[in-house]
Amino acid sequence: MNTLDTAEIIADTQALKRALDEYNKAIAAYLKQAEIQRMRYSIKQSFNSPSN
Amino acid sequence: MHETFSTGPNSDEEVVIPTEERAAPETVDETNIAISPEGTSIEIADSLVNPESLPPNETLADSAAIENSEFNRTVESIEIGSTLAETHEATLAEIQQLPQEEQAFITTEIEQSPEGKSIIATIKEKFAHLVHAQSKLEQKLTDEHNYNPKLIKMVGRIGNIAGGIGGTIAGHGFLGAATSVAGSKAGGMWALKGFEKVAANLPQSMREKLLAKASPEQIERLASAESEKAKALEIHEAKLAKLKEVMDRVAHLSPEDQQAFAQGMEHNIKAQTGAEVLSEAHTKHQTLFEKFEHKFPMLATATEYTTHVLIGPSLHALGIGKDVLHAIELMAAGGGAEHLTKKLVNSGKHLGDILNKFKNKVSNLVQRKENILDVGAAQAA
Repeated sequence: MNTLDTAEIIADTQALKRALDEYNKAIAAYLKQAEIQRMRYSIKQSFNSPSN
Repeated sequence: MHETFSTGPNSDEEVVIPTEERAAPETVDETNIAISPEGTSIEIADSLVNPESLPPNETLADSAAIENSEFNRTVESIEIGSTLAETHEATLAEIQQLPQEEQAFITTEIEQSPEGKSIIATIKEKFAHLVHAQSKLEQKLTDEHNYNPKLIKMVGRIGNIAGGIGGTIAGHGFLGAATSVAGSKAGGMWALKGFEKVAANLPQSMREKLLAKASPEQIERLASAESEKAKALEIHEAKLAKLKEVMDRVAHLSPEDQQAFAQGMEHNIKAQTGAEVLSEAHTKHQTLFEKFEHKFPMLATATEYTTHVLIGPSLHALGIGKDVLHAIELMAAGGGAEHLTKKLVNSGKHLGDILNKFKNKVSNLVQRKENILDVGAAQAA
């Protein structure tokens, strides 16, 4: 491998890091929404329970 | 007029090259890397050094050291990002374990809300970028003869993530657990295959080794390992083909005969024990490698990786679970584990023996059943 290849691999590695970071952010946003909806479901269930 | 270049990243020497001795100007542009017969060193200088960012007195060795440090930081960041992504995967898996009604409520609400739609679209886009970046790097590492094992491990981890539940969201919406498990398994195999492809080259330790060519001994050892791997695969494939043939014969029996066969198997204590032993062996492997993963989280050596190349496909051919294959991958990536390597070799052989015994038992039962049927048919005639 020559150094030019190495430089390319470093650049690709950095691109992979950025892609992973952005993917993680997107999944984190999904999980946040899931948590909100889970809370909504919990509230909805508490209203529907026979004791209420 | 002179320009100064160092002779390489590991050298402190500097070579003063008179400009007039360089190749003819008409064949060289400002970034040309082949400017003299001794151009190797100059190639390195031109490709690595950004004149705008490098202080005038800094040598190429300094530059390489800085780049090495940045590279390591990037790989470490990927490692952290991979851990985060795996934590996300675990949280998604928890959601999938919720009661069906609750799960349906959550996913439907997200999929139907404008914000949720936007998030899912973003996941799809980012997922595509991630897969592209992972594949590109994997391909590049495959094409080269030297690579950084730590980076390979991270690339493999991302391959697993891409095949996991997040990948399911990106591809088909939030599906049931079974689909996700299948997706995850496929992703795991994909990562493993990628890892194997990459490992067709010998591991090197870090950046400075990444610059060096593999030694003839290493190349010879790899060739030997590849040859052994091919032989092992051939043997296992032949065994599996025979087993498949036996199972096909069972499948073509009439429903009554199949039932009789199944009852025969149920009453066959040895066959049951064989299946149980296989299952237990699988569990033991999982436990062993879970411990291993915590003890030896990274690093790689040619010896361990060679073992992976040899054993991974064999166990794959034997139909052993993805978790074990993943564990083998981790073990292969782990340093200083000779005793575990040996243990794995023995365990792999043991599993093969068990499967063979089981296969023979099935074969004998089928043969016995067919003999009975043949005799019955002859008597009826």
